[in-house]
Amino acid sequence: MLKLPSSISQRSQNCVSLIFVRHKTWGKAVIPHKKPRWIPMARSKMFVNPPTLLIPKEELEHEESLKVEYERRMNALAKYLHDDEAKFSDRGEAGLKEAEIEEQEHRRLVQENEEENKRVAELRKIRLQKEFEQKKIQIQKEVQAQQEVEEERIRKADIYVREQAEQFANRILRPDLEGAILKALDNPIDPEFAIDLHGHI
Amino acid sequence: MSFMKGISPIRRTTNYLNASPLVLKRRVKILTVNFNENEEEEHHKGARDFVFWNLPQVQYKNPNVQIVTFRNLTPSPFITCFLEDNSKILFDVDSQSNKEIMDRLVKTVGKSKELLEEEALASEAKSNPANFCRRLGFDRHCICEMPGQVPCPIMVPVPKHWRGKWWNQGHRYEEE
Repeated sequence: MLKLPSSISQRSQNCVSLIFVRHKTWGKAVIPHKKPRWIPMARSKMFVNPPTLLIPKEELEHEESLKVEYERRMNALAKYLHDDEAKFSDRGEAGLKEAEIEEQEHRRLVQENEEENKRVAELRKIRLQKEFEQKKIQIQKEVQAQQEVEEERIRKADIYVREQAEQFANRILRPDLEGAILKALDNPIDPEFAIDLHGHI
Repeated sequence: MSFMKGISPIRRTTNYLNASPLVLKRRVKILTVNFNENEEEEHHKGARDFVFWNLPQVQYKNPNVQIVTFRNLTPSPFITCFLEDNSKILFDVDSQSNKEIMDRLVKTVGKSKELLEEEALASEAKSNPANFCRRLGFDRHCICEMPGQVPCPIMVPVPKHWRGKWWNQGHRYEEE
């Protein structure tokens, strides 16, 4: 049921409510809630004079001129800042050029670094070669020393074996045992003796 | 003294930390150092000294760069810088002293002195005390708190005829 202003008589309201008014039926529908367009303006409002502006004309003109001047200045400033940003900001022409220069510089520095890496690699190669040579000499010395020790050991063992072999030749056999005992008893050896400076007993 | 903690506590002083010339470029995101701790490996000595003496300085000057050290993994010491475009730069620092390493890093991935001076000037301009907005770190939040200016409308309402609402609602036509 439409709700119409109370100034309209009940009879008119009843007439209006029976007449179908087109309105939006889907989405956010706005049911007509004001005076229908075919109802004329109220007589109390029909011949009202338009409102008059009480503010002096000079004041309004002064305000308008100030406003115009302000807008001119602000627009000029905005345009200036816009052009400045377009030229000198990071995304402007100057920024793009600077980025390109920086990129080239970066590539050059990376290339120099690669060359420096190669130089250091060469030095490392020389150092490792030197260390290898030193280690080789060191190992050879150790092997040689070990060989000398082994040879000395074998030489001493050989001398000992020869001495033992010589002594083995003078061994006392069982049949000669009694004779050796009698001989030893007949020739006692006295370790307590004095010698002179020349070694004579 | 309670603040002299750890080995060589001079490394913890702000004067020492600020003395580093290496401010990495914005494109460098991660820096890794590979070296060995064995004292007999003389070719790692420069990298060891760099990590001990200079790495705190580098991290202090570049708080947003991730710095990682890898110990006793490789026979030769090296430094790798990972950039924002997923590329990397390798620095072979075999048998180089910490000073040589630092000079090399400054030359390749560090900002130049001129650029650092420009940035220092720009930061001074940004910290202009004449600016407003406490949210952005300035001292004053609004011009209304300055003596001699229009007071804050929260405290003292603005004259009605200065308001657009009064103007547009037609009150300018009303007789007072």
